[in-house]
Amino acid sequence: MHEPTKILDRPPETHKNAEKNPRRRGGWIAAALLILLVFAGCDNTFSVFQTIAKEERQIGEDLFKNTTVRAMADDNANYYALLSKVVWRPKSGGSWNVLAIAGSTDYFAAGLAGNGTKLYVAKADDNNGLEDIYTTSDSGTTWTAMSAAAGIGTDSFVDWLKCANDTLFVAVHDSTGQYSLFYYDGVSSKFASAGVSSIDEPLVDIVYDYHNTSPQYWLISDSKVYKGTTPGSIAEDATAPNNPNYDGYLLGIASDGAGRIIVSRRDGSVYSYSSGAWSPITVKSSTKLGPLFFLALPASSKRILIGKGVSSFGYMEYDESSSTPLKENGSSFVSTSSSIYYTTIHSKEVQAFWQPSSDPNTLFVLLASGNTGTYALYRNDYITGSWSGWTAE
Amino acid sequence: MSKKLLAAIMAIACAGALTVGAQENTGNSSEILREKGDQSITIQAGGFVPLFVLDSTGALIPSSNMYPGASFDVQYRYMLDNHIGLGGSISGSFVTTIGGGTLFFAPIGATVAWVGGGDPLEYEVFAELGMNIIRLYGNGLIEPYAKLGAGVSHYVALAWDIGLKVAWCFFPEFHLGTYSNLNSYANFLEFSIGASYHF
Repeated sequence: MHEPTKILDRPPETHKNAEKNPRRRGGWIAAALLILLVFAGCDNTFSVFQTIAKEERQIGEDLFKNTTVRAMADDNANYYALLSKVVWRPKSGGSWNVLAIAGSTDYFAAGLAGNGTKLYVAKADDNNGLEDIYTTSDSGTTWTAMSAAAGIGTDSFVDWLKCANDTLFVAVHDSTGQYSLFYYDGVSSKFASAGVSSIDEPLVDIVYDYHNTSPQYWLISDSKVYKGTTPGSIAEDATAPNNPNYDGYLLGIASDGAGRIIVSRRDGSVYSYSSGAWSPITVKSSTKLGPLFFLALPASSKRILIGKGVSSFGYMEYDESSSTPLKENGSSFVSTSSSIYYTTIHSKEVQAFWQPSSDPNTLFVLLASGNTGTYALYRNDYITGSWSGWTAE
Repeated sequence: MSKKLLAAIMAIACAGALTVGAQENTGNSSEILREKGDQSITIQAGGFVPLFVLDSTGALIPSSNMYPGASFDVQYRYMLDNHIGLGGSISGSFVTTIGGGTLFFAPIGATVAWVGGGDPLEYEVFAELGMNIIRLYGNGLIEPYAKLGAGVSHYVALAWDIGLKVAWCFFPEFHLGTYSNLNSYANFLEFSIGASYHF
């Protein structure tokens, strides 16, 4: 048996002894540094209890929980949202329901697009292969099959649909991993190549810029920018210098409709095209960005909304005319308060911002499912000069 | 996930205490069971109820927007004499918010208690001071806190007791400079059941 160590028999270490003991002094310094670091990590501008006090209860449709809203469209009467199926509700209000396509609600929808009057839905089979694209101009009462598989190819998997300048575009890939863009030619009533065919880069999005002297389609893959004056003549944009092209870096594109294009990248930069030249803007250095959107209201304080592509997701607001251009965590006007932001969009990945074709006073944000109990679709209304804040659909 | 873990730990702690409780009581007096140098470790779990929040001016914030949650606590105590004990505590608790968020607390503090009564019932009043790690929506704060409470416990064996505790928890948050208007003073009620091992 060992005799227990008699700790109390040790001579007490005096302050003078401590000063002579470099190991103990180092311990105190380390503890002080640790405390300093811990306190430095606290945000003096963030109030826990006052943030909670400003929260509002969000009660949305259950079908928008644990899901991803990938696209939206509208016609004169209804809003439509793309989940694994298309769901809809009247613009005048009411609940969301599954949209029957050609008489059936048993389908998988691979894409959704609309131009304000017509609606397009791509249906896929059990292997995600393109079955056909259906269109309706009477809110789903009657549907017309567009023979898409015949025009695009049977070895096609729809990535997305998009209407730009009233033209339907279909981005697909094939079983060998080649990506192509098609458009629907209303004159010949068939699908045709948009000029971007069998490339290695996934296609991200297409927009149309209604610039009065040189309107153009603008397309991005995840690596390059493409443009063209007609739907069938889209080709790589080689404008130099400062072209945003970079392998695997491009994430979003938006147009202000008046000659300006912006492209977001994963390095925290937004590239802006105007008057025939590209110029980079560092929005947030070394931060992966996401989808972009030009928000035109209020007219005195236009913003660019930029989804975040990394932890804590959500979005940022960028005001180029302001001396403090970047706003994060709902600290600016679209969310009305950080509390609204934290309980709706925070920690979820933004899929897109979307406005109805003829209603700049309504803004939707489409979200990925995430691991929170929040919803995947929120709406924000511009009322008497300000945004109302996000409300669950 | 955290709620399930907390519930599981609470169930294990209670089951352990009740199992020991089935053992024969010693019948010893409390004075024998409790003397200078005695030590104990207590594990507790229970509810955590928001009471009210005051703003930087001391005015009541009309709605705290918090729902009741749960707490888990581990305490160590060293008896200085038959009645006074000193120790430490580490806890975890959470409440949910009206917007669907979850507010976490992790207080770490020092405790002082006055313990009275005897076998089989023992009672105590205690105070606790320390630092509180608060986390909400990825934002964290470290703030001081205070607890004041009372409890009653029942010896079920020489080394074990099970008991109930209730504590008022004062969780302030302080902000510096121009953000001092964000200062808030939150108040919660913690109630718990637990088991103590004496050695």
